[in-house]
Amino acid sequence: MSQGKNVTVRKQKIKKKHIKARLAFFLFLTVLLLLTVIFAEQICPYDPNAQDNSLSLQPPSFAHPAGTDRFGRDMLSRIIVGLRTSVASTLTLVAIITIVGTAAGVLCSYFGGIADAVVMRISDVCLAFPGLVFAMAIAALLNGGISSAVFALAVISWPKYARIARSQTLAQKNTDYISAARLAGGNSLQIIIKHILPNSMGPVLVTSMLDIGTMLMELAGLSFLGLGAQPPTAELGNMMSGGRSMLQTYPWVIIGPGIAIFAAVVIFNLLGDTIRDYMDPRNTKSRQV
Amino acid sequence: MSEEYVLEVSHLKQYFPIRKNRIVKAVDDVSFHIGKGEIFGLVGETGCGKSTVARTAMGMYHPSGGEVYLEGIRISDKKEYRRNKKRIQKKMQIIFQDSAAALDPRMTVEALIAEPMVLSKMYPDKKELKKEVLSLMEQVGLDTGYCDKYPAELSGGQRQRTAIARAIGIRPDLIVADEPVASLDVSIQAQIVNLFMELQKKQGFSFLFIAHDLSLVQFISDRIGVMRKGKLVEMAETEELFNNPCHPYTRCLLESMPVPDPVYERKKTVTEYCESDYEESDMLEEISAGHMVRKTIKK
Repeated sequence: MSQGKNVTVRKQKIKKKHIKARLAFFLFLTVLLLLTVIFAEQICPYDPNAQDNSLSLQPPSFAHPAGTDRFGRDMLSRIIVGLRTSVASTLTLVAIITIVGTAAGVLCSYFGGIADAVVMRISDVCLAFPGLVFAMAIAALLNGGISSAVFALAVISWPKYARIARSQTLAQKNTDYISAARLAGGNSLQIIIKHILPNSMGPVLVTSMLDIGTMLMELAGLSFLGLGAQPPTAELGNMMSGGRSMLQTYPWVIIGPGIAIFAAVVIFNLLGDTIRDYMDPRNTKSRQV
Repeated sequence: MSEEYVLEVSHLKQYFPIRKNRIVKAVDDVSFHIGKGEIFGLVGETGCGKSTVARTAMGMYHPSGGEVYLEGIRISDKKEYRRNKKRIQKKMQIIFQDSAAALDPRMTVEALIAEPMVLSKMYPDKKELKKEVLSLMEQVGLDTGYCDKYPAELSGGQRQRTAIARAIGIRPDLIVADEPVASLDVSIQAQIVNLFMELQKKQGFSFLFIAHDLSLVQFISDRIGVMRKGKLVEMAETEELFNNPCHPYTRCLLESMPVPDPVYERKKTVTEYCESDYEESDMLEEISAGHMVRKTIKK
């Protein structure tokens, strides 16, 4: 019995101390993923858009590790290029909502007044709608393509960041060090950049890291519904949508992109989680090391 | 308005509205002045409006009534304050009570001390700035090795020294010290107060020194004002105030000062100042040169 207890204690210790190792591991995976995305064209074994009808719907083989699709295009190449489209547009989207949301939140709460009330009510409206439905409506209104999907998701997602940034700013606005900076001659812009932003970026960045996975899914979802990237552009969502009817007969056409989405989302989410754990002030051990 | 005063506060009123139809008279008709190179002590119980006086004098609040002049600039006027903002900020610096809250937790000691100088563009050359920061750190008795530390890594005394270095960096004429030593332990208090006096002698700053500890104020100030419930009840030269306290509240304060004699302390009875026992006049009256007091009559 006592031996068993000892073992559990040891396990817990190992878990605690491995935050740094976990962080390094997931960072490594993320870098790997990003490298794949950046050098997509060099890695692709075939031209992702080259059609060859004699090779259509081939099962995975040595020549085509992920099989081929209806038009005889190499699935692996299309997955790699599709991953690039998805990840690049997701990162753009997250960057946009982080910057826009933070700017709106910080400026509104710093200056307060009517602008604050108006912007916050707009953000309430955005938060009150079911997100994806609202995004579909916006994307449908625009002329399609991946950029309109990004825009649609940006419109529904910025309020979250505005709220976080706003609460962080409100907490700091009346602290002594802000007063001291103002009395030392700092104007509002200098104070926001030098004091408020560095002190409120922590939670915002963690949220945006955690959001990368979600946004990747939502973008792929919009594309799957035909509101994002349009064929023949390779994008994971619309590739899955294209292979939807062949799930039972030619499963690799849909399973390949599915695994790619799954892997990318898991990597980004775990990285986000680990970063949150790492930044958690209660977790002092990881900081001391 | 006399030119020889660094700061002149006349009939300052600061009311804060709380909910509807209710206001708090944080400061009600306070007048005093601080001469060049003078240390003016402001004492009073917690919540009597000392800090509000300081903050209004700094231009952080817009006063509800009365005037504040800083070397002839009427800073109680919003327009005039804004027009002369840069000049005012170079003439006046504040040291807050809680140094942990007054220093940005994400800035290093060096950056904190340099900030006012950077903002007022005193040293465009980076090397010169660094040199000045180091010399300031030496002046306030802070080891130069602390340059790259963050406020959370410093002790209370070191943090307060950082705040002082920050304040004296741009060589202001007036330093408003809002209970600068209240959060420190007694031995550090003595060090900081000595540092204040040393700096004052060397560089001739004027001080508005706010505290609730009379013995400390007696030690450092040239003149003392006693505040109670937003009003100045007595104001005199330090010696005069201690030898001849005229207002019953001042007497209570003086009596409550601990004396380093346990036998005396045990026998001592401190009379509490009870407002309803006295009828107080509305005006400060000058009873001897420079000694102003609110006349009271025992009922």
